[in-house]
Order: sequence, then structure tokens, then C-alpha cells
Amino acid sequence: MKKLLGLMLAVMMVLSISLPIASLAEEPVTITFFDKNSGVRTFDDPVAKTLEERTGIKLELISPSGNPGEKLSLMLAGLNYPDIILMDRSSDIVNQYIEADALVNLSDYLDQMPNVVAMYGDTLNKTRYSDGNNYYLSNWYGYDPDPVNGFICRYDYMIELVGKERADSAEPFTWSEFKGLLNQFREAHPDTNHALVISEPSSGSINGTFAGMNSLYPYYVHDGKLFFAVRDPAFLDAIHQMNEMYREGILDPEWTSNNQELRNQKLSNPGVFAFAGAYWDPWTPSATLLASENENAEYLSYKVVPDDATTFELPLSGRSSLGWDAIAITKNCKNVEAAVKFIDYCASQEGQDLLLWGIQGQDWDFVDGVRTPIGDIVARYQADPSNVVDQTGITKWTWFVKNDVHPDDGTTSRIWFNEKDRSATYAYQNLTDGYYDSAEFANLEPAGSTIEALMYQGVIDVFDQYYPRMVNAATEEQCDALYAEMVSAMESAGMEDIESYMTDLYFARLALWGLEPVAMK
Amino acid sequence: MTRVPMDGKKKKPLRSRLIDQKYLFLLMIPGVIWVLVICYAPMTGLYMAFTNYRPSQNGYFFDLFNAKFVGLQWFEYFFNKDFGMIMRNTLATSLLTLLFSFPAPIILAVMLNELKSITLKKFIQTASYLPYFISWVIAANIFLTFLSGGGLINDLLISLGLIRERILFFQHGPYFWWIIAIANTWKGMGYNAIIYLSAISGIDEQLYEAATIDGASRVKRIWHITLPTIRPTISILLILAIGGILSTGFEQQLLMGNNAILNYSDVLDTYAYRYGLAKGMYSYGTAVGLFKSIVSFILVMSANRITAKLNDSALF
Repeated sequence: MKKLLGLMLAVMMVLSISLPIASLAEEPVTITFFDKNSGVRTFDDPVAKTLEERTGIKLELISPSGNPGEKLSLMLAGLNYPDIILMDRSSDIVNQYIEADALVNLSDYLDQMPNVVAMYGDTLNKTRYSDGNNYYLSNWYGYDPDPVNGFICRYDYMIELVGKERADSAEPFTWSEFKGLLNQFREAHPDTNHALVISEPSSGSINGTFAGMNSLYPYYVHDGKLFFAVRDPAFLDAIHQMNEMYREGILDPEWTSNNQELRNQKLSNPGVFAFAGAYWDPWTPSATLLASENENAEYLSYKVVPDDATTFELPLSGRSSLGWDAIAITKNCKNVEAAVKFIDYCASQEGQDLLLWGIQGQDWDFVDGVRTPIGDIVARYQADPSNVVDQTGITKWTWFVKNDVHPDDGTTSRIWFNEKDRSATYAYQNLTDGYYDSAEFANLEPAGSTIEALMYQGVIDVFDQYYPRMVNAATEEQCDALYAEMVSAMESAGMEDIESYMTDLYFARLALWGLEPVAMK
Repeated sequence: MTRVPMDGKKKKPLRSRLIDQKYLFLLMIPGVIWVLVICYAPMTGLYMAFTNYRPSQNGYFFDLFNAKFVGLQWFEYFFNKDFGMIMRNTLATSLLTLLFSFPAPIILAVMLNELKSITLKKFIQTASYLPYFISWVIAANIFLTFLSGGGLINDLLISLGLIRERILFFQHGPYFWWIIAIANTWKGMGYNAIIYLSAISGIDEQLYEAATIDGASRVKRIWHITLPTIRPTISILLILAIGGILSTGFEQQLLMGNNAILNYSDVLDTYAYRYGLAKGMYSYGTAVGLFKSIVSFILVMSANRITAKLNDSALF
């Protein structure tokens, strides 16, 4: 009896030790992933689950919670970055990670990533670091002639002011005509506070619609040199236009505090005629207005050109063919092979279809060899974009996205764009001839902890402080005086030295890529 | 000559006293370790302010002690560049905050002490210290909404006929200093009042009774009994407040500020954060932080000395 009991105990002990090992062996590999864009989203939707099933990898998403740039800097300083990080490609944080030797050299793994090589093609050459290696993969890469900026106006008000035929026309308005419309709107709606709303300023640049309308690029390339955009003679024209809007009470005077929530709140209220910015920004307010007001209460895109315009080709839609974000595997990754496998699947056409079209047979399927959405999924999205993305998981995780149509059937990369809604239709119809590839301007600023980087930041700080003050100036003379003061302060902060630094980098890059400057004036 | 204590008993030698108190010393060990690890060890990072620190895979200490020594380069850059503006904003916000937030809890505590209704006293006390527990994210949104062009405050001022045009509070830099001072006071007033209330509760009731018999009015009782009795507490809190004069806040500036008023809202902490963390310029951020610590230390020492000379009480 004692022997039997001893044997049973021994078996139980062996089982208790071996069972967890067995269960561990069955558990999928876990990869930690920091996505600066993920916000408060959770990785538990149908697309996320399918992605985990197909790759056999469990993804542990790390929330950016607050300023993603800060979190990336802190993780770098503490060497506690996760296995994969998605960061802003236009920021110098990418170079900081590379210089800190924190990223895995992906060039060593390209033979294990056939889908990445096939999909990315020449983009891999352009995103090499100065040592010739690839340390990250671009996100939203490839030429992307989608429209971006314009005056996004309430369609019902536009019909009221100019009639349906003109409101539906692709013919641009001149600046004078558009100002007239804004004034007419105010007269017709005297209870209106402010007819034009814009978003809070982004650091280092002015509003994209006013910049594009005045042919301003991120930098001013002139006489074989690269300058900050403030040196472009057209810069002051753009500021004058915004200042005029402010002085006449057309522009929302609290524009500098308009974060996304406040902006959407203002655009959702009756009494705003137009928004100047990206055509997709007012999608949520449009959904609210369509539900609460009338079937035409929706923000649609219109192009406005200068009065003396000789061409309608205006740089309203700058997009970098090298993408917005950079995705990299860090040296903290214990299982690089698994991370490589995960990346290669996401970047493949099948992976892209899963992320951007959803689950085949459930969200879409092939009909006569063409990808076709199932049921009313696109209509539901158009009515309530945020919730449908959250529930279905489609386009919730935008990783390794290639801006292109499917080579086999010509459908768009994202299911939602396959059937353009009215907002997209008007943007594509009215905001034409605005695309340029802004890749050549990206990552020119000095990186890291250097005096040049400090000087660059100092120059940007001066600009950030003066831009709202110029727009909000009481008179045009005051606006001009502030402009002169700003340029002088930027020069004192070291603008010329930084321009020389960036000029060298810019022309070396163009020579390497065999390109001519896109914005030479 | 051996010192003899006042009670006439001979003091034990140090070794014997250590042995006698060994358990107390043992109890102290975790606290000492905590102070060394959490408070003193990170101070090695201050060396970063004198180097061009760049993190790498070699580890923090290797990178720190092998970074290029640059002396006072970062300090010089700071003093030549933004020092004036940042110090002006920091001091303006701090002094205004001190102006409101230092007397406010004393007044509140004294007024609460004079209240006869216990229910009302508890209600006011709870209501006044609730803001302390609200996060700055929520508090900032409350202020942004109330003080916006179409907000409650503007509506109120217009309906009272005090203004004709709406005031854009967050578009004018100097307003921002006042908003931060008021917000800081609103948030901390109730909580700080608890400290004064506890000090007041220790006052001997007989003093009040004697003063009442002598015909002292309520105001005189406050002036001659309550305030003098809590003067040590006031002194200590003043020393602490002066020591923290350069710590004028961080989240509130970051959440309520905008680019239009950046040259008024940027203070030492937000500046060090913007450069040090958001832009990854660790050495520069550390230099700015170190400057702040040194100035704060000098301020605490000075305030302590002045208070010790003026009053009988000081912090150390």
C-alpha cells in the first residue's frame, strides 16, 4: 500500500512538473508591439484573432498612452523597448534608434521575407540607412495620388449659396469667389459664430490648405539651396489670407486650441460652412450631421485657387512614397525569426487583404475574380466609420500598408475605398492635380543630442510661437511686422546654419535617388 | 572631560547604545535602502548634463560614463537661448500661484473652524478637497470648456453686462499665468486646508474661553489666538512652497497651453520635457533639470534661514 501510494505521489509530482512544460510548448510565441497610432484600441477584434491564428503568433500590443514620441524616447533611454516598434518616420526618433544600435538589421533577414521583398521593391533601396542597411520597413509606402487638403464645405450650404449645379461642378473657385461665399453664408446665417474652422497648428508648418493654395512646399528650394518655407515669397501671401479671415471674424479665433475633439464638436454644430484641411478629417462630424440635419448636411471637398492662378496644379496633396511610419524589430526581441515571420505575413498580399479588407468569406469574397464586399459592410462603414472599424477590425491595424491597387483585379488596397462614398467621390473629383511625392523632404532635420538638433528645434519653436500670432494679428501691418520679427528671431536661432546642413543632405539624397527637386522655384 | 547629562546619569558609550537600539536600526534598514536606491542612486544621471549622452545597446552606465564630456556646453546654450523667457514664465506663474494658493487654505481652514454647523463644515470640507483628487486631464478640460469663447464664464460675464466682446482666455499669454494660478489654487486649496485644520484642532480651548471672558470678538480671537498658534505650520509650509517655486506645474501647462501662447506657457518643467523626453535630447533636458534643482535647493536653504531668524521655528 505504501509502495502504491509512493508511486502515485511520484507520478503526480512528475505530471505536475511536466504538464506546465507541455502546455507552455503548445502556447504560441508572444511578440510585443508598440504602435504609436493604436491609441486606446484593443487587439481583440475578428481581424486580430484571425491574424494570430494564421501566423501562430500572439501579439501583445503596447498602448502609446500619451505622447508616443515621449514613450519612444523613454523606452530608448531605458533600453526597454518591445519586440516591434512603429514610429513616426518623419521624426528623428528613427535615426536615434538606429544610432543607438537598438534595431535589428533587416537586410540580414530579407531572404526570410520573400513577401516583403516582392511588395516593397525599390522602396527598400530608398529607406536604407547611410551604412547601406535596412533597419525598418515603411508603412503607407508607394506612390499615393489620393487627394489630401482642400476647403471641405457643407454641401447643403453650398447648394443654398451657389445652386446644385455649381455645387456639383469640378470647377475650382477662385479665392475671391470663395471669400464671397463665406461672407454670403454669414449674411444668410447671422446667428453663425464663425464660418471657417481649422485644426490646431502642427509644429513647424502652416495649414496644409492655405500652404497648397499658395504653392508652398515643406521647404523652399531656390537657386540650388534649400530654405525653410518662411523664406518663400508665397509664405506671407498664405499668412495674409489667413489673417484676413481672422480679422473679418470668418476664421474661428480659437483655432489654436482646436484639438481633434474640439474641432469635431465645432464642425458638428450647425453654423460652420467650411473646414480647411484634409478631406477625411470631418468624417465623424459629417456622420453626425447626416443623422441629425438633412441628407446633404455633409462636408465635401472643394478646390480654391488664387485669383491670378495660371495653373490649377497646386501642391495640396503632399504624400511621401516612403510612407508615414517606420516599423522595426528591436534588439530586445528574443525571437527575431517569429517577428520576421509575422512581418512577412502582414506585408504579403494575403496579410494586407486581411488587415485592410477583413476576413475572406465573411467581409468580402471573390466574385468573378474580383474582390467584392459582402452585404452592407461598406454602407455601414460610411454611416458610422469609427464603430464599424472597431467592431470588424478592418483597417483598425494599418501595418505595412502599400498604397496601390490590387494587381490581379484592380480593386483598391482598402475595402472602404472600393466603393467611394460621396465624400471620397468629391475629393477625387475636385481636388485633382494636387499630388506630389514629399519623400525627398522627409528626415532632413539634424537628429539626436547635438547642438545642430537643438538649433533646429529652436528655429521651429520660434516659428510655432509666431505663426498663430501672425494669423491673429489685428492689422496687416502688424502681421508683416511680426513676420519680420519672426524671420529675424529664426535667424538668431541659427536658421542659416541649419539650412546649409539640410541643403547638403537634400541634394546628396536627390543625387543618390537620381531625382530632380520637386519644388525648385 | 566626560559630558554628564542634565539628569546626572552618565551617558552610555556609543557601542552600548548601538547594541541597545539594534532592533530600531534593523527597522531602519529598509528605509535607508529605499532612500539610497530611489533618491540617491538616480542622481548619478546628473552627470549626463555635462556629457553628450547617447543611449546604445551597451547599457546605461557604460553609455553614461563613456559619453563625450562637454563641460557646461548645454548650460551655456540654455542661458544664451531660452533662459530669460522660461524663467519669466516660471516665476510669474509661481508667484501668482503663491499669491493665491498660500493664503487660500489658511483662510478656508480658519473659516471652517468658525463654522458651528458640523454638517455644513463637513460638506464644505469635502467639496473643497475633492478637486485635489481630480486628474489634471479632467481639470484642464473643465477650464478649457468653461473659459472658451462660447463657454460658461463668457456667457456669465456678458449676461452680467461686464463685457461686450467675448474674451478669448487661451489666446492671450498673460491671462494664462492667472488661469494656471487660479487652477492650482482651486485644486490644492481644500487639501492643504486639512493641514491647517489639524493644527487649529490642537489649540487649547481654554485660550478661546479666556479671550471670550475678556471680551475679545471673534475676529480678535482669530487674530490673536488662532493665527499665532498655527504660525509654525504656516512657516514650514511657506518654506516648502518657496522651495517648490520653480516647480510651477507641468500637466496643467501641457494640457491647457497652445502654440499661440507658448512663449507664456512654457515653464522649466515643460521645457525640459519637450527637449529631454519628447525630442530625445537627454543631456540638454538633464542640464535644465539640474539647474532647476540647484536653484530650488538654494531657495529652500534661504527661506529656512530667513524663517529661522524671523520666527522661532524652521524646517531644519
